[in-house]
Amino acid sequence: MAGSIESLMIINKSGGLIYHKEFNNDANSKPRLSSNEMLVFAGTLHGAYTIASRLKPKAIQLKNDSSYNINANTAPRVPYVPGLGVNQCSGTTFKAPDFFSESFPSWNKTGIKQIETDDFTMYCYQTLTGVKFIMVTLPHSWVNGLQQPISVADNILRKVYCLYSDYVMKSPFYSLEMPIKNDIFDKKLKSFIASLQRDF
Amino acid sequence: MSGDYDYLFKLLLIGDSGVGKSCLLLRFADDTYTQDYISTIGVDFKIKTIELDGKTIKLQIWDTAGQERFRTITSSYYRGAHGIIIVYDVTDLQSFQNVKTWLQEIDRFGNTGVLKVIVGNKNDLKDKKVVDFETAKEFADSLNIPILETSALESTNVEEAFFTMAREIKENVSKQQQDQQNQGQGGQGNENGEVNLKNGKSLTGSGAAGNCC
Repeated sequence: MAGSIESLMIINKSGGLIYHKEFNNDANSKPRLSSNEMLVFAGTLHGAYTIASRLKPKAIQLKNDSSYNINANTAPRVPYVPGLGVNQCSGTTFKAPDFFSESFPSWNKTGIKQIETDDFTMYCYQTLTGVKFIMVTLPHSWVNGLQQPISVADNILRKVYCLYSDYVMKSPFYSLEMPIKNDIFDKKLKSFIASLQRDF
Repeated sequence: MSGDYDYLFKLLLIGDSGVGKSCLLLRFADDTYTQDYISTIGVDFKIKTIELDGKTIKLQIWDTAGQERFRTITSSYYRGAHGIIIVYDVTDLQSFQNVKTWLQEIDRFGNTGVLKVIVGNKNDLKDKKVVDFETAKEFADSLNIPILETSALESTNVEEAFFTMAREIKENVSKQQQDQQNQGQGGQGNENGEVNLKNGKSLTGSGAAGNCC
């Protein structure tokens, strides 16, 4: 089931698109949307996300939000899904351990987690600092046989977050909140996604 | 690669309903003007690409709705904005008086140290003008905020308003970067000025941690 991941985006905390990569378009074909259109999309999504988080019924907000609940102990947790990419990089001698192996808190309590349409499904993972990792997949190929597609998506996107932390944030030439232009990150991400697509 | 641009700046347009925020933006981004009044719903975007000191910069301008009923959503857009442009209508005294309220909103929701510019729009309507420049300038000077009078209709000062902002933001960002670097040198090193990079922990395991083969 190769190629179920269509594209990946990183949106900074202020709603600006700082990274966008399409995986199934070959290099020669034109991107589906221009960079300006993508920026508008990212901003709109950021707004929709904010509105969505305000749709949460007031009663639940009052019950849970004593101090906005930024607490790793009380936040809902996403189960760890083993064997996604990384471990099963075959064909090379390189075998890194998995990036993490425990369940992890979900900071995306009230915003959009998933948008499903007939043509695609979109997943959103938000970090504690408000960076959004967005993944667009084909609608069916991906979910077949998976119990909890959202957890799987969260696991994948958290691994992208790990790559981002290691290769973007630690780059001395990167200025915060700005577009990511980083060859190593590109390469690592590409091989990570490629290894995933072999798995599915 | 995602971007054909080096920097992405977020600019925000705020101000009372009907002062001409959308028209100002339309003039700047597309160099057009419309007489029709269409109230903005939530937020609208325009993106302008400019070149500054050899770098390609995309200004993503968030044109917010001025109407009160969108206020709760609007405030969430302040986050992370590099520059905020507060617009008033020179023919409408109330809109000028409300600039104070908008500035308070920025203090509440915006980043500290966000750049601000006050813009008096509709300057072409000379005979209807009620807010004279001296009064406005005095007010702006007391707060140390630059002020401009523009006309989206006649296209005066519009480019200047946005370019002033872009230039200041870029200087700010470069300065921040330098500060970070200086801090890194001063703060992290030991007395010989050496910085130890060996104890860093890699999340993805394939870095310097020595998990090779």
